[in-house]
Amino acid sequence: MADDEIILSELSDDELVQQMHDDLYDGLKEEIEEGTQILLERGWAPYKVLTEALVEGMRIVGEDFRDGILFVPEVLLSANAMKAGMFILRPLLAATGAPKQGKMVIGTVKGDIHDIGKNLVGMMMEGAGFDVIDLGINNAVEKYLDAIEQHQPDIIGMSALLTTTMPYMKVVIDTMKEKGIRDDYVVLVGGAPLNEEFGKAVGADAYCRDAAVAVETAKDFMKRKHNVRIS
Amino acid sequence: MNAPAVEVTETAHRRSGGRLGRKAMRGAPIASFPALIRQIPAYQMVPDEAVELIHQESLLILEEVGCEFRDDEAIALWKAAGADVSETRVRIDRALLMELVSKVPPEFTLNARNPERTVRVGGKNSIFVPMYGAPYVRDLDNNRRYGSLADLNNFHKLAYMAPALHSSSSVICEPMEIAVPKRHLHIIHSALKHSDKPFMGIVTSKERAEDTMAMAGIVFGEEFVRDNPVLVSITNCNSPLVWDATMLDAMKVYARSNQPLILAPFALCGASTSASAVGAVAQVNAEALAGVAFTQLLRPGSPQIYGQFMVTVDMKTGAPMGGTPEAAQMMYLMGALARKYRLPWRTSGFHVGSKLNDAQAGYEANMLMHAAILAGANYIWHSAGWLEAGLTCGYSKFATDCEQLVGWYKYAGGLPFDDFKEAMAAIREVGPQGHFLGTQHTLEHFESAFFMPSIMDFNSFEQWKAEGAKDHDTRGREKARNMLADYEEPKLDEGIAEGLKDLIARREEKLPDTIS
Repeated sequence: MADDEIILSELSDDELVQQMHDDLYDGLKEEIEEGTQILLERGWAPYKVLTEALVEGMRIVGEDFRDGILFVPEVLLSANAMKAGMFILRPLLAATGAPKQGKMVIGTVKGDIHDIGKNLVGMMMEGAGFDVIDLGINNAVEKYLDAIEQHQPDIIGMSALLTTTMPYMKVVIDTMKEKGIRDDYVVLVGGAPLNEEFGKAVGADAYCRDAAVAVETAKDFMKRKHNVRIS
Repeated sequence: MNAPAVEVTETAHRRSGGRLGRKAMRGAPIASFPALIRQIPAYQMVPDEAVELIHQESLLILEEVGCEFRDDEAIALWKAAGADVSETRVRIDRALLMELVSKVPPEFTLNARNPERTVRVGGKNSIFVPMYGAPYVRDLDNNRRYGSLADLNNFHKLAYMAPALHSSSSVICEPMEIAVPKRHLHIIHSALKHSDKPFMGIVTSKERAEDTMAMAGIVFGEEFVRDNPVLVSITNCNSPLVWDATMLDAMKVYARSNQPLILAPFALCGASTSASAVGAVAQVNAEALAGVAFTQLLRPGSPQIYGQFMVTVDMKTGAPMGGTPEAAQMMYLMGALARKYRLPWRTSGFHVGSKLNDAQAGYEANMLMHAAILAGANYIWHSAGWLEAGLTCGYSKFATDCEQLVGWYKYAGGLPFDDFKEAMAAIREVGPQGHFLGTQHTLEHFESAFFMPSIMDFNSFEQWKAEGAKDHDTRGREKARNMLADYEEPKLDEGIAEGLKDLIARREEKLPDTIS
């Protein structure tokens, strides 16, 4: 199975896409960069490279992560390879006006400095092809509002580990309501002490129990936004 | 304001076949672990003077009270050796006793039919062995019922698959549907057929011990089993101070073929010993030493196992208990004595009193295994399946114990420092903020760095709920069921397989269907 003799440029399109799925799975950054370049040189539209080679590859990774076959460090490696492919595609996608995967602003709310979960979500989202703007830790409502204005994201993500800081999510959402911009964005919340009920109570669109669910939820909301029926 | 880069150290990662490759790798059956080499010091709970005091009292018991050996040949052997014999009572002088005990090798090799499963027992080498002797099973549907041959086959399969078990035991549960005079043949056959690990002998009569040796001879070669340990057998002293004919018969068969015995007083502390943990140990020590010494009259230099474990009696009912603090404390005394005598030492690990694989079982098991490991036990028996003071073998408990043994194996293996430098390099690589999940050190070590159980559940509440909100007992049964579905029988030479079948058929023709 371990075959370093594979010459990507000698593979047919189908074989190459299959190989890229494997290489994403194995977290091989340079191979993904090379595969992405080859497909572009063969005249593939950037959007087609993104969806068929990269996003599809990461879907398999996500599935096996969910099923306990892949572990967190491996998924991060895959996400890193995906990100390298995205780095090549992003300007081309913008230039060709292809539909975007989506953009997310994410941060840990005011008073909370626990960011392992938030970082994981950020990386997994990038791995799924999203643009992620990470506000870091301890974010007051103004930081979220500034970022919204500056980056025009599709999704706002808020995270908290402490029961004493999680109510601040409501402050952010209420402020968005006051400004009349709440419904322009999808708001996802997460963190160990949260639950579905809390998510609803603070007025979020969804509570995401882990990074894999956050990615799935974000994808669903983006499909709705693009008016694509969720399969 | 961009997302922090995924800090992954750039190195030459290799293709590993993507999803199929990983699935094949993760799904591959795990080979057995070698015998555990304990890399943590044995803990001595009492000062040397206290160990010496117990030792001296044990010697006095054997000199003044003596021990019964209810067998003519045994009595003749003791007489010839110079012991003070009156009828079946043998009083053993300390010089003779200790001279005989000192002939036992401190370590021995226990051969498996698959040489890769051969283990060392004694010194720093420890092995985990599944339970023995349960009439009942708590089955895959959580019913308590008599055990059957199908159950026994299943437990031998599970023992074969569990990486941290180093033996298949023998009669993990009793195949109750088989006539008693013929049962031993099927027990040994099941252990030999379904697993390639070391196993245990039958001791319920001389004839059955001889049948066991004949079957071992077919698998290992008749000549080989005359001198090389291939099975371990349990012989119990009837506490207080009686070595009975049945046990002495089995001892004669096995010790003369250099097959190790566990010399184990069958004692309930408070009922068949005084109601004192220290007093009880002094008594069972005397009983075990008398048994060990006798084996050296049968075959000097034969490997033997100093065999105690001890449970206390429930003074409210008279029932044996399991994982209690005194049971654990007594292990430390026995371990210290075993080290003093340089004898391989058997104790038990997961022998709980609980009826179910529940919180009580978990607490009891942990109390006992912690002591067994820290007290330096070599043959850690009853390490899988045991419930209800040994009356029941539970599938869920068996699977749980196997999983926990992987953790104990790691615990007793000590703290490795071999990647310390790399770990320190990772701190410099990450610096303040960020995380370690993408560092080279993590990528190289994440699979082995931490215990990764599958029955224990560390998921989020929501994930656990989504998977059916199952309790530990249920998850254990599912694990056992899944393991059995994945079982593949180890190779056994066709000639050997036929030889075993022939022998069983021949013996069954001769043996009666009822006991007389």
